[in-house]
Amino acid sequence: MKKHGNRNDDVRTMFTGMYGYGKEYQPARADLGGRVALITGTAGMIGFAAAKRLAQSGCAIAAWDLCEDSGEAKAREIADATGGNVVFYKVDVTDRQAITDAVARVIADFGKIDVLFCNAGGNWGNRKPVYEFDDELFRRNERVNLTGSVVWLCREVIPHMIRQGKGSIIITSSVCGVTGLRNQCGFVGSKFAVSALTRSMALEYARDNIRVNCIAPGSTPRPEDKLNPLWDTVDFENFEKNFSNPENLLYDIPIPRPAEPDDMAGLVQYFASDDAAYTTGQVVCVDGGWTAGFSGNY
Amino acid sequence: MIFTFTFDFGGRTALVTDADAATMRTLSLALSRSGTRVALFGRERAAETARELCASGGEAEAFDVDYRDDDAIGKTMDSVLARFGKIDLLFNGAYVVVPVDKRKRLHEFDMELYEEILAQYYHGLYRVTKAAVRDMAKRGEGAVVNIISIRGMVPVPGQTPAVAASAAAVGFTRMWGVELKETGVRVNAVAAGLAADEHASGDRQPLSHLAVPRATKPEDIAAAAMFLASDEASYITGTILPVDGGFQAGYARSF
Repeated sequence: MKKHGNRNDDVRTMFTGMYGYGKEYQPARADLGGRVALITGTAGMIGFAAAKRLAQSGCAIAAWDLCEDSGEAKAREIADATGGNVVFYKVDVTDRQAITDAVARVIADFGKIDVLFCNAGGNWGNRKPVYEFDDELFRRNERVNLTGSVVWLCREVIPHMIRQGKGSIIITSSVCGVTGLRNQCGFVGSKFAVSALTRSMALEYARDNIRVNCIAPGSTPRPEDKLNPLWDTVDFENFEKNFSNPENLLYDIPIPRPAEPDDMAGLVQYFASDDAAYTTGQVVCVDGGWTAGFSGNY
Repeated sequence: MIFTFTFDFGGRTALVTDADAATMRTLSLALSRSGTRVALFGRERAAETARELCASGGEAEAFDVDYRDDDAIGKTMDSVLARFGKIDLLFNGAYVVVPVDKRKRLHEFDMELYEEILAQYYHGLYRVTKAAVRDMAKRGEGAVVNIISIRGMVPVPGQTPAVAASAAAVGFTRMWGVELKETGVRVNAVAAGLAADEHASGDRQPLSHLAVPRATKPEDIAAAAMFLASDEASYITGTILPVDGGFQAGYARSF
């Protein structure tokens, strides 16, 4: 294990050998051959990594994103890298009719949906406490993360899964859907809601052989996110110092590195596979131990 | 309604939302008796409660508010501040349950009802709290108590919007409790257990599986809410206090 704290080391190689970071991944492979996965938000980091992993495992992928150019490019990249069947659909999940139409097109193209990964979402806010929070951004968090990405989409897909007699639904929540973080109430509310819906949907559809599980990703700042106001307390110039400076939020994360999209992809693959046949209604944090407790010396 | 404790909230103003609900009415009566001036959000029952409080020497006024209309909520909050000058205590009536005959699984759920419930118990909770806390923050003190459903901690089938809104309220409570530290405002919640009229007849008697095998009473909730709002709880913020007969503590059926 390399000692961290050397500012001259590149962030990506700093932790080589630690917790799998920086070395070649030897991803676990599930045999998902012949299955169809619908994944939303595939132009984003987590959606892309999950789509690629499921394609490697043999899934045909219906890749949804709002962003046409990067969505199309990422879908082609996955198809080229894996030789898999990947079809891109431009869909805005805040448009109920668009969801209905696009699910119909996926069924027409692939005949079924075995895996649904409700991943499209975002964190919109002005980083203010509730009494100064932006109303329009508050609403957008709810419309996208809760109502569009989860409620409307699941309503359209579940009848097909019931008909098929089987299905696995995976939802992207956040550590903000498990614990309270300051100054982002639009995001926290929508994510607490989807964490809870994971559990109520698991209860509703267990007898239809549909499992519902949830991933709660932790911190994912990386140098290219420098301009994202969400990470305005992160020191991107001396990145590793974020994990050794008690003043910084990231100090509280026991595994001292940002989350990698592949950390999420492994769990998504597990939930999608038959290895998870008895696992439903679970919200699993992939957060380097962040929400396990306070890591300071109290 | 007999409480064995008393709180002195003399001179403070409380806003009680969803005051047509039995629990919030009970809470309003108890607050008034503790010397609080009470603003109530609600319709006929809230107006009736306000008249009752005034007749017994208290100070109260009811305000009709359309939770689906963001602007209307803002205007009503302005009227409350114009009438009472300040809001010291906010009791959000955020307890929501889907009526037995409307309970459906997600893919069959009535989406109009979904939007209605979210408007009042998700967006309304945010809007009312935002306006009230703005006033509290100016003065550097205040307390918010969200009266929510235990379904936000223990999700149940067939009630998508109630589970979503209640869980969101859990999240709001925890994060508002920590983010408001510069303002002197505390935010807590009471997670109310199962009420008597919320079970389909012929159901497997969920109440019999509780550690305290009876339905939740309005007094149970009002007492806990008043404690969390009081100065006795000055070191308590961002917590959810389940008042649920043990419902969320564990599995009470025998194996």
